[in-house]
Amino acid sequence: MATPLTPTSDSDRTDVVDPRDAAWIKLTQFDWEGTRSGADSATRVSVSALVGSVFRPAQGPHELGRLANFRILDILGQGGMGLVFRAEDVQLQREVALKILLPASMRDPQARERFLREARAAAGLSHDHVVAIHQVGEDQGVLFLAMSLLRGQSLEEWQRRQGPASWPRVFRLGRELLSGLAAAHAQGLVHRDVKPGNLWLEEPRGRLKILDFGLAWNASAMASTTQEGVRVGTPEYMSPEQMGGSPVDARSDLFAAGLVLHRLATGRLPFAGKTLFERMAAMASQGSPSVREQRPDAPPELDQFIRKLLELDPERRPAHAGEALAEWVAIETGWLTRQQELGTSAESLRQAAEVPVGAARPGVVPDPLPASTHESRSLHGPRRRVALLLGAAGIVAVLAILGFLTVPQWLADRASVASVTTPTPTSAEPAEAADEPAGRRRPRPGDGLPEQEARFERLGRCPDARVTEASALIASRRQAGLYWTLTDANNPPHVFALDLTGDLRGAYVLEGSVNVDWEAMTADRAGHLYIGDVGNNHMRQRTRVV
Amino acid sequence: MPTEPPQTTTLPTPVPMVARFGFTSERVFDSETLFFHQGQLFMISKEREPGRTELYRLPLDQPGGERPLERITTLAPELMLIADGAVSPDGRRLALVCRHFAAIYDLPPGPDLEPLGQARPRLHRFELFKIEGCDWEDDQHLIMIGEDRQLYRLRVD
Repeated sequence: MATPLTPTSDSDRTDVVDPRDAAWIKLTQFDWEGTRSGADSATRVSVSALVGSVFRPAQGPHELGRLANFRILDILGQGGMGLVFRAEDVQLQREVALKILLPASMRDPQARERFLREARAAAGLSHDHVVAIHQVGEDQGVLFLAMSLLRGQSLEEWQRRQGPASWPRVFRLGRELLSGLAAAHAQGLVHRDVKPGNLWLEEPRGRLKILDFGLAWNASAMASTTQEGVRVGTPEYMSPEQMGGSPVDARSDLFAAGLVLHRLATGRLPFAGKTLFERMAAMASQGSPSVREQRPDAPPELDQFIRKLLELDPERRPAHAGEALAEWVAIETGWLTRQQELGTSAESLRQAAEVPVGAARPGVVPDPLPASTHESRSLHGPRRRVALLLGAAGIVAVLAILGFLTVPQWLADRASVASVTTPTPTSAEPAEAADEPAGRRRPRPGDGLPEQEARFERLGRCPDARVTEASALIASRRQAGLYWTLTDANNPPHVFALDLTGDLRGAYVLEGSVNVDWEAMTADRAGHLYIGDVGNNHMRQRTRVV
Repeated sequence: MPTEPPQTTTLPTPVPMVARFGFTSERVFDSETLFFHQGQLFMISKEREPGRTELYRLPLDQPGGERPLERITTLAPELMLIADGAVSPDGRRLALVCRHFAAIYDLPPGPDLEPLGQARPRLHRFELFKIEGCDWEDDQHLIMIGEDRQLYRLRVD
């Protein structure tokens, strides 16, 4: 275990230029001895002391120290339960955001085990709209998580400057939020602290990433070992059942998503109040708030849907984000269709849905860990100085290779119809091409290879809504005819069998199976199914399709 | 077109694991497709660092154990972002889908796939949708599924 640090006084801080020696971190909830500090009695801890107590000694001039297989390079920020560093995985030679959990918060063995178990479950979540956790581990008593190092800004920061979002942006961000939540809920994960500060807009077009799945629960579990009465979540975005300390499920996340979407559409949060009690009273008196009351041009279906998410009774909300996502997409598709009928081009709608995110502001990083009972924190004082220092150091972007937008179904339908007999398109990457000056086009994958006309037809849609991201498709030629089997990388490992000889109404889910991250599979002539497990860098599963 | 809502039936029988094979590699691989060719199991890995598409052979002679991956060759650099692949029923063509296009290789007659590293596949490029999975319906038609669960049929001459 790391040596507890002694809190320093406010007068100790100085203007600094060297983050190794004199950067200060403002811890708003816990100090290193495990006692909780109030929001207005923050504790400051010097980075140099932290480095000496937690990390192994530095092995080079440009690092703060070592932990497990990581070279600690800079501090990025702080949160309720720990600190976030920019670090390099020396084995994979890639930079990550490394979250270090405060040892004092981890003294209870059961809480530690629970944290590791749930963090590993969250690490198994692979989705375009959920930040990837690469590694969860423990070294010298310090629990850590290695996550993708993101570049961009949080939705909270973006919205503070931008105010209400345009409807294309509301629809797009809402779809991406619900899509990420749907993938998590399908795995039994509940976020418990959905808020704009935990939603990241990734450069350059603002692809939304949800941060910190599963960690709020753990924060609660561990906090409860040192204090009583902690509620998980951020008060402004708590559901009524969270406020009341009742058990929460996916529907609580949907209430928070409703608050996020309401604020995105109107620029304001409903249920105003300075205290938790005032907000609870506002909920009781106002009922489900309307977006149209503040923004009359809101699409009525959108307004009704957000109100449905904000129902005080969880039974009246969608059961989980997958259900909400299906409804959202239907509303979005209808709205986009109407806009096009009114003369707005698909391209302009697509561009309008983008959220340009400029260079990351200095030191802006994902909210490291969920707050428990505190108000949203602002970047000021010593933390701002740390941020400025970090800006000079620069943040290397996470591999942003696939920053394409998810295309609404009606656009895909149009594409398939238009392309059945047309020559090879010149712009297969509209999201990329939109930024290119006239007459220039960014190189795309596949450029340089001989191309042929693509002649294809659209067959229909897999009817099972649980398939959120198909990852592989194989033909199973069996006695009953020709079936198609696909796996879904983001859901619990299901195999879906489709009968393409009919009208796609037959879909069968082979339940059970094994807990692996499926992205590759094939079948041999005997009907054995071979499945690759990418998560553990092993190709290890061989199953038989029944 | 169907007039009734789609039906999904959950079969009670699980997909059992009947054998397990372990493979190790000095490099981090991200398996995107598995396929059989001439009785051999091959895997293509999307290795984003340093950004290469690698073809491996997976020996299946040691159930329960671990064998090192046998690297065969590096595929054309234009194939970054591969998502899935499949061999045609007649065993003569390999289709690889890479989000916005399908690349069709002519497979060599023998089990050695090293020549694929020098081959130039033919591309069929698409607009707007992202392909995640594919397999052959017959020797001329490739079925693909998009990220949005939409299924497509591509004719390959």
